[in-house]
Amino acid sequence: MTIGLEHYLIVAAMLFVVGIFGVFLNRKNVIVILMSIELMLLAVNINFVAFSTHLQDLTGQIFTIFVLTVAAAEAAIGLAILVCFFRNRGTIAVDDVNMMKG
Amino acid sequence: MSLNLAAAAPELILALAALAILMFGVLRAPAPAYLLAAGDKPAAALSERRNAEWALWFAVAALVLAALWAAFWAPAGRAFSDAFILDGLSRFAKVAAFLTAAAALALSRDLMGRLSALSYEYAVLVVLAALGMGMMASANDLISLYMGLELQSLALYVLAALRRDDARATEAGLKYFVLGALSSGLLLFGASFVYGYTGSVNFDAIRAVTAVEDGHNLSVGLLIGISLMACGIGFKLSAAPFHMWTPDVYQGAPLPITAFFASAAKIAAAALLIRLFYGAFGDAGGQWRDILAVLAAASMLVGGFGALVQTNVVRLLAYSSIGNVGFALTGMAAGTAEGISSGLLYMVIYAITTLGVFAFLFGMRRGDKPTLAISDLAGLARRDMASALCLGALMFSLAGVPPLAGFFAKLYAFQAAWTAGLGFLLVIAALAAVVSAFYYIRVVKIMFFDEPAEAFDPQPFGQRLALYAAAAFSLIFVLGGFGLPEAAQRAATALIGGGA
Repeated sequence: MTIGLEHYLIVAAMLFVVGIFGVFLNRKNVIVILMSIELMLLAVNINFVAFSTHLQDLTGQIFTIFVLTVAAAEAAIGLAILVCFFRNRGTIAVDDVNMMKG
Repeated sequence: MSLNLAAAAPELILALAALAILMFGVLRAPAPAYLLAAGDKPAAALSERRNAEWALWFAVAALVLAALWAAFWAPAGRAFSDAFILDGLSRFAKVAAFLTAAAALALSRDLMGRLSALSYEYAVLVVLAALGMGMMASANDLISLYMGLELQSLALYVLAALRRDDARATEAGLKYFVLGALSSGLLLFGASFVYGYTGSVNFDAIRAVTAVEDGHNLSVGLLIGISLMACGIGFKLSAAPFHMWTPDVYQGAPLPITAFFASAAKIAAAALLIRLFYGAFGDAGGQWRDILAVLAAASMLVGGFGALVQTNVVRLLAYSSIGNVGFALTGMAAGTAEGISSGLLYMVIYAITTLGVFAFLFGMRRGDKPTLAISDLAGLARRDMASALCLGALMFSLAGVPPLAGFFAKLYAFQAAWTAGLGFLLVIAALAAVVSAFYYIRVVKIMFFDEPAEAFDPQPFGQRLALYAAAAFSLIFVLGGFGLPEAAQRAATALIGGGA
């Protein structure tokens, strides 16, 4: 069996779905949400690189570099906000992110 | 295929301004508090405050200059090897986004000072967010679209949590961050499919591929990509069913920043939607018009019914913004030049109206504490007739009562939807308009006919002026609309008519 484009797309789609479920179903810890978001972006990167190789076109890999950079910045900002949140509330449990409702 | 920096001059102005403010703030910063003797601390705090005000006014000037430059001096054209385009649409969106950003920033000075959240970083972040908005309006390929969107979003996440010692603000920032990052992920996953199934990230090339047979027989992968991108943009626009972050973020973030979210950020997101769907997928209208129509219907209903049970003015405005995005999407779902112009016009009128309302909300404080329950407005007419009349006019305008500006916004949107044959959507729109008229008019009733509550603190002149100006705008709009409908039309023909 040769490994073709569709296999990469399936792996990426599975990772992406795991990431989405991680954001919505996880009730424990906000850090896990940050990890899930990172997982989604990595799934996107697999997609881009797979398409890039398939199309024999470098643009997809360049896009991946941009995505990696932005993902790093995003993680930094997310963790910074999380640290502020922890200082105010003394917890990072998802169930405690509940001051405002309705 | 060249650098062509002149077309990107407004963005360059903003980028340089952000760097200049950052340098200014760092170089002029007083020594950190732990190095100072106790007696020097008040002087240091004062100089920090003064630096922040200078930074704020400099940022306002830079935003206005960038808007003027985008309107008059930047030559239309493409820059950065086709990744960036300046045409009528991006001109219109940039002028609107930069000017509303400048207005929100200038208005926020007093309240941000009271919240002790006035720092030079605030000005830098607003300018960077505006820079991202300009990039979004001008994006001509998927990479610049993503970079512009993220530049805006990252700045907005930090702005939402700017009061880092406030539990609500950090919670708002956290919620906004998580859902915003999720939506960026969805958008990006969609972008990867669009790239893979069209073979290019450039909007013109994508358009050439999707134009095949009027968008029929598109591959499944491309359809997945288009839908996922629609979901991602729906999040940014706070269209239902992707709206759940909106009320919490609006309530938790500092009010001036909420005003910024509700005005400039909405315009930029609408411009991005138009740029992507009418530009890149413009010849495959049949594939995405239904998605926009569903988003529009859901947003109008959620905005209408969700607001009924609210007791907090800011949450009410959050649901109002969801509903209004739905009305704007009704126009944009038409898929015609009218759809673009009505969508743009709607967002601009909504942004101006809502900025006026927020200018009043900034002053809803007693004893320097915010009092933002709807019941705090009770009997406002007997305490402060001018404000009550202006706020009433803005509420009627949001409800779409003729002959105020909001009526024309809805009229154009419905007209576009009607000529495109979206009759069913219009039925839902009419229903939602009636429901939302109820809660806007309830606010008016509370202001004019309820027993007066305690008076608010006196409001600074600038905020009153903004309220009066917004009310005057919505009243006088009927006399020609300040050339806005024509400008929106020119912006639309730039994209659909083929001209620049």
